[in-house]
Amino acid sequence: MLFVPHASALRGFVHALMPDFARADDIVQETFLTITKKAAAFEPGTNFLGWACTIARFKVMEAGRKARNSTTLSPDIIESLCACEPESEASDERLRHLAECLKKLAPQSRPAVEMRYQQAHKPAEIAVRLGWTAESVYVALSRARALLRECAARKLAQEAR
Amino acid sequence: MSVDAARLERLLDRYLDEALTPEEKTELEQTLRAPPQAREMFWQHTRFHGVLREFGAEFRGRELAEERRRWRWNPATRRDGTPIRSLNGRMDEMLVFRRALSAKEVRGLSQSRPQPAAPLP
Repeated sequence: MLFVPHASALRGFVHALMPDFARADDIVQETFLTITKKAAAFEPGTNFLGWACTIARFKVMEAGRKARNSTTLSPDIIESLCACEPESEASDERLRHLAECLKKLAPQSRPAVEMRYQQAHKPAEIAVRLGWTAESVYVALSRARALLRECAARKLAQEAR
Repeated sequence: MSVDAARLERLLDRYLDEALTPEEKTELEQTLRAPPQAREMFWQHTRFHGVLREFGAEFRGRELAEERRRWRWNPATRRDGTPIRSLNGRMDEMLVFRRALSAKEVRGLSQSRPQPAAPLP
């Protein structure tokens, strides 16, 4: 089945357009169901991931219309973002370096990162669980992401040399 | 039109943490409409957010599988991972549980048992 080797890239695409992890997971599942239903319409040899992402994009826009909150971007913005979506980067490579990069996180920001990315909690829930203010959770997550992004990029660059 | 990278980075962080106010959402969308650098930055940040989630979910999955494996192979631990002190301790626990159960059953029976009929006058 073509879906399996592209599942990770598709999930990454959906997470970019839908930051709510629970809803993003629903959209990936719905996309999978639609792909299964419409499998006969796919022409072998054409871009499967592109086709899957188009289906996922419509699912995200549909979810955004239903929810009408500030989590989802407007449909025209999603369209223009997808029009210039760059080629998928080496996410597997970055995954390999993340374990090492995570060790460099400040001890106080680690629980927030674990709750957000391992347990899929929303920042507001993390604030309650850790007894922090919401703003300190945002700051901790933002700093951690910047540090990890730089660390993974540096390791990839070192490897490429 | 140039991009205020620091401001865009802040807005993208708030977007990823589902913390955008309606005003910030409008500002982010306006920024993303104009220069292509802003859209590139969007994909850079949001894709990394996806990679982090992928990593976290995989890690959590492995952790849960390991917990389950430990529990299956070591019956001297409870499902939450806390050890049961000894076999005797375990037997004691089972005994207490069975006693509690039978006491409940007896209570239940005594409540549901029909009362003896009142003697005829």
